[in-house]
Amino acid sequence: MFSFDPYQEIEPTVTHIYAFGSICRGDISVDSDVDLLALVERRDSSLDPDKFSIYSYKRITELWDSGNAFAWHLALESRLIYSEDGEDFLKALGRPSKYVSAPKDCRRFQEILESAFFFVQEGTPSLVFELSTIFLAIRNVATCYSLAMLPSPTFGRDSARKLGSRSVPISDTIYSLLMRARLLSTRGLGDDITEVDMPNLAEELRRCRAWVNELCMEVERNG
Amino acid sequence: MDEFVGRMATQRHVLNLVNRNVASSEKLFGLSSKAIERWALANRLEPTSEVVQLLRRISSELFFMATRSQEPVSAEYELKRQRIVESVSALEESI
Repeated sequence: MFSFDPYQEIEPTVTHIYAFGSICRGDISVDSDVDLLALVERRDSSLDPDKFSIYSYKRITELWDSGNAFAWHLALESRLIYSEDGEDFLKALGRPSKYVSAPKDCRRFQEILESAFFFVQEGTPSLVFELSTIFLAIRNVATCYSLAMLPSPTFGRDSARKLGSRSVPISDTIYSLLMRARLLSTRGLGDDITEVDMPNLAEELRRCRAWVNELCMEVERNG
Repeated sequence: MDEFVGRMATQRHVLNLVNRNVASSEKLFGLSSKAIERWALANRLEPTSEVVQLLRRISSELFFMATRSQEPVSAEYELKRQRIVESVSALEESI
């Protein structure tokens, strides 16, 4: 039918590996995974893209220079675990440029939330994926908001619930449902979601949408 | 379209294609390798089945684009994009 070999180059090129995310915050739970970043010069067939976020030095430097949210995440929550040359490449980059793209980033995740909400209401055949996408959107809006507006940004899975008075106003039941969907969609873990109170879900997601819109407007007012 | 939003749309298209057209005891929840593996096991599909291989191929290309090759002007990026289009077409024909 076809020959599938996306990683045809074989010469190892990895020179820096970092851990980042929950393991660096000490925020470990039974379903936590380990986020790993590999910095490479070029393709490396020994790296499993399921296990590593793989970036070229050029690209990661661009993210630093543009003040990208992921660059800030790495700058604040990563640890070097392997360096071929003994240097800490990310540390040597210093602080990323100021994070100025919060309005754009927040609106982008709002757009993703709105699409997912639309398909949930339309009766999607892929409900778990759409709920997972909603979880991703609210988490990322919260992270971008915190990076732009708060003295201490929050990057964790629960960032939407760690904004104090600005935390997402949805029930524990629906929040847990969204998180379950995320785990199913990304890691194939957990029980299938079969029983959903759709009217209640729709009502809570409407509150969620209003909350996202408020955060977007706040970051826009903040510039 | 924003690349990230575009990847989400591609995932949605593929998942809906499978979940609407493949009779299964459990839906396909995502295009991560773990989600595909779970779906194949739950529905007793061999790893060598055409649908599973096509899904793995699309997944691999999408995740590649998400991280390593975030350089939209590169020839490689365009090649990946084209491979995804071809794989999705093959999936549509397959199911």
